[in-house]
Amino acid sequence: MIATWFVALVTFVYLGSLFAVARFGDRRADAGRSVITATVYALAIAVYCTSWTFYGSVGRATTGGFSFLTIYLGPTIMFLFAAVILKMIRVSKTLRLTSIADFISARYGKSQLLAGLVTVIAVIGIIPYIALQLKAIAYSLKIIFPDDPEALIPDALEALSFMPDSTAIIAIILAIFTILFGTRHLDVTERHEGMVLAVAFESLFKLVAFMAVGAYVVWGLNDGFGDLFQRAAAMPNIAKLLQPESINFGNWFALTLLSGIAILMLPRQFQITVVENVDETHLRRAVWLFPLYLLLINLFVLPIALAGLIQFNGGSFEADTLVLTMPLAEGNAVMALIAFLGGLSAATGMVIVETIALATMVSNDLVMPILLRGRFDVSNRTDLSGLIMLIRRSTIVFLLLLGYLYYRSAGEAYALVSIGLISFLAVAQFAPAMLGGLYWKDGNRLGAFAGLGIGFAVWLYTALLPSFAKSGWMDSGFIHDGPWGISLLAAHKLMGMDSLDPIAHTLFWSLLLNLGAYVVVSIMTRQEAGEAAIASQFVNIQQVGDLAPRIWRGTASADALIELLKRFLGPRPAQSRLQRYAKSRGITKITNLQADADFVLFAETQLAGTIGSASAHVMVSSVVQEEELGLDEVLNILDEASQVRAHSKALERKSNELEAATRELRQANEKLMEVDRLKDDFMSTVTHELRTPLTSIRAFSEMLHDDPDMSADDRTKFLGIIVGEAERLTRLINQILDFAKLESGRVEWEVERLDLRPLLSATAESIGQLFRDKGTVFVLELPEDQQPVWVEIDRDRLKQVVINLLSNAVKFVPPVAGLIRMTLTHDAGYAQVAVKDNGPGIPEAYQSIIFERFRQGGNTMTDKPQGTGLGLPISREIVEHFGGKLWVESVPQDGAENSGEFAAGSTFIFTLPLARDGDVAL
Amino acid sequence: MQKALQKTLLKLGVAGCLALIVFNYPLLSLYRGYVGGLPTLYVVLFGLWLGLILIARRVADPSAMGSFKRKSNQDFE
Repeated sequence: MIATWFVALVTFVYLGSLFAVARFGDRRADAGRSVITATVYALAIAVYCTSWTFYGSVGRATTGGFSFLTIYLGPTIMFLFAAVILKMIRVSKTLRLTSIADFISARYGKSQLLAGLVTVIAVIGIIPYIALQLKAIAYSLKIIFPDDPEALIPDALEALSFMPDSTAIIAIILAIFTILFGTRHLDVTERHEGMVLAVAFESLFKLVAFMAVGAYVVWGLNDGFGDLFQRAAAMPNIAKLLQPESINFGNWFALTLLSGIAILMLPRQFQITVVENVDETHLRRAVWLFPLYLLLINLFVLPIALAGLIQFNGGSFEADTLVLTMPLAEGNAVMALIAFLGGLSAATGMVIVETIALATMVSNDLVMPILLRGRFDVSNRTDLSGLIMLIRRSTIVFLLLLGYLYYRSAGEAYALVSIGLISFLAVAQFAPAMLGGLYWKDGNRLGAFAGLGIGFAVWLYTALLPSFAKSGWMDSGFIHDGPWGISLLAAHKLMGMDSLDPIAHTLFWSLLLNLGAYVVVSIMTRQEAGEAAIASQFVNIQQVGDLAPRIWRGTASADALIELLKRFLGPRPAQSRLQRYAKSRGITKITNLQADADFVLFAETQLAGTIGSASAHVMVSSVVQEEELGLDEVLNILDEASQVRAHSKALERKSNELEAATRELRQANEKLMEVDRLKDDFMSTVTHELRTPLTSIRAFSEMLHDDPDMSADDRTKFLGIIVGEAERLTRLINQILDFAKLESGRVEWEVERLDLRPLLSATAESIGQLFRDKGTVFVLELPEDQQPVWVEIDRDRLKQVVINLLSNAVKFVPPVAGLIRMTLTHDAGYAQVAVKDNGPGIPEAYQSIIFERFRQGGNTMTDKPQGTGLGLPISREIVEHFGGKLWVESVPQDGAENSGEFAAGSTFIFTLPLARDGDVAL
Repeated sequence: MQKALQKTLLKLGVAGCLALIVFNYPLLSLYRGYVGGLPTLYVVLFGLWLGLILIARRVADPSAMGSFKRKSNQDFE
């Protein structure tokens, strides 16, 4: 029905159109008019649907009913958690990460070993998957080949072959395509826009093809959905597939979870979703358009399966190729060809992207480290960019060859048929390290190693080896009976768990142990300093973005770094990127670049795009001397922000303190100004006081001078006045000097042990003339016990105090019937001297003021000053110096204390501590 | 802008959690029998799925809702 040559022609035309589309995409990209829109991005993500979807879903539906849907519901749900995907995109863009291996190793201290382990897991898990696609192509070719009508029946397939190596030819074409459009740039982070456009085109093609076949089956071969489902409902065997009872919900959940993880962890999905993402806003479209794509491509799966079941009721048929065999059985060659091309597009799209993704990992994380560590001379200054490109291209050929060889050797084996979900399980092992790394700062390298290692081991033992055994390559006893008959270790029922199907079983154990090991080891071991820094950047990417702290310290030469970049990127690309970088830092010439932390990180990030972050770190480390940063130092740098916060808090505190200090200073200043004002007042008082005696001295001197005939009596009288006034002047000046001395603390005290009794008597006697002049009665009352009252004091100073108080009292007692009484008492440790007068008394308001310097009772402006205003302050200074107190008690108007003699008046009282070893009666 | 994005992501996440519940046991076990000739499970599964897609579109991609809608709020920044 369909000529071989025609099938071949259509096949090559289709593949040729892929080249054309990709070329178009690259040209537009080069011209700066990107064709990668949000819709193209979402369609390209549909590379998720491989030939395993295209053919396999129908096959699964014929036996499992709705369970095939889990493979598509998982990704639908996962895309709603777009925050995770966005974070992955941001981290990868910031650090120029190009593969899952790169991602995981970068997160855990740029460990080459970890990158290698991830790569090995990915290759072992994915190569069979690639082989499955090649097999699907070969298989569909066999079916579509029309020469033998019997070819429609799968049993007859073995007898035929389309071309000896038709699959090989297609594999070669795919290799050429991948090399052409997948390795255009040395820098892997540069997008492969042509490739992405071609993959989106393939996605669209396979969707249209599958829906065309579906519509044909539903409306062409049957009378629509209703008719099909009614016929199915009539057949009990088929009808039960359509009811919830047929679903094993444990497996349902496990498969939803597994596919949800796989949509993030499959290398090809990471490549398209993260690495090839041009603009993160595109994710907004993908969040709903990709699920819609999945919905549409699954809409007809169940109807086609039912139609097949009904058509071949009871008979034997190959469920996995129903999409192809149904149109063929009806002789619809066009529809069959469309189905064939749809399957081809599903397979090729997957092979192309998966190969690019794996090639990046293998060349960057397996080949480069070996080359860089081995005989490869780092100091060699030749341009390495060509070699790197060659390595990557060879890797692509090698990977496709590996896939092809696996397909050839596995052939019809179970190992190939079941590989889809087994591959999912393999990549699911990346989830704890990857997602943990994004959200848990303390996850560390040893934890990642432990988790990945144990997860991979469980996967090998419970998934891969059993698939080998079922293919007859090895003894299958361990699957159900356990190795050496230890049933607890049976590969499909570890610890006797037999309620889960093998996929759910592996998922449970591998993820449980993987996650457990990752968490437990991370908690129990310490993170290295550099790792802690990068972990923080991963986890906080939304906040810090590109502004992550530059955690690097050491010495480097800018020339060496520039040389390194030129060697690995090629001289011209390196030159242009350095130029851009220099410009961004405001430097005009590359040679002026300083090898600071920022530049070192720039160089490393640029290299990471080409040779992977782990290798890039090794290379950069080879030309710079990095100083080991202690964990504390790194944490210090990381905590810079919080330190700044702390500093600002400290500043705030300081400023509060300053404010308080300012307040105190202002108060002090006010006090000072007050004192200054008092001094001014005093000056005018003192001047006034000084002028009075001076005036009289001058007046009497002039009289003596002008009148030589003055009588001797007058002369003597005048001279007496002059002498008196001069004495007063002297006294005044002495007091001022005295007070200045006291104030500045320059007084020399001559302390001695004295009895107060004789001292008071002698002092009172010395100014007896004063009392007699004014006719004042003076009474001295001493204790009756006749015991000496010992104090330690400066005799002259104490005399000064007593004289001051007595002369003050004399000044204020009335001219007639003036009365002054001085009383000495003593009690617990203190001697007390009170000088009482019957003067006018001191109003309460003045009682404290009179002890202040330069202040006097009464109005100084109107009344004639009665003293210097220094006597009392000086006395108080003296008394307080010896540990005593001086105060005044005054009764201005009424109240006689002891007798009627003191109806009013003031009492000045001072106390002095008694000498301790004195024989004073207490 | 960052805040609007966080809100969008949160809404999507909530939808995701709902989807996890809706697409699993025991809710799915309720849909027995047939509706209008089609298996209830088939109708419900695809119906819920489509509903989820429409919600996601409304929340995440307003610019796809038609040219008359505002085109802003599109940035993921």
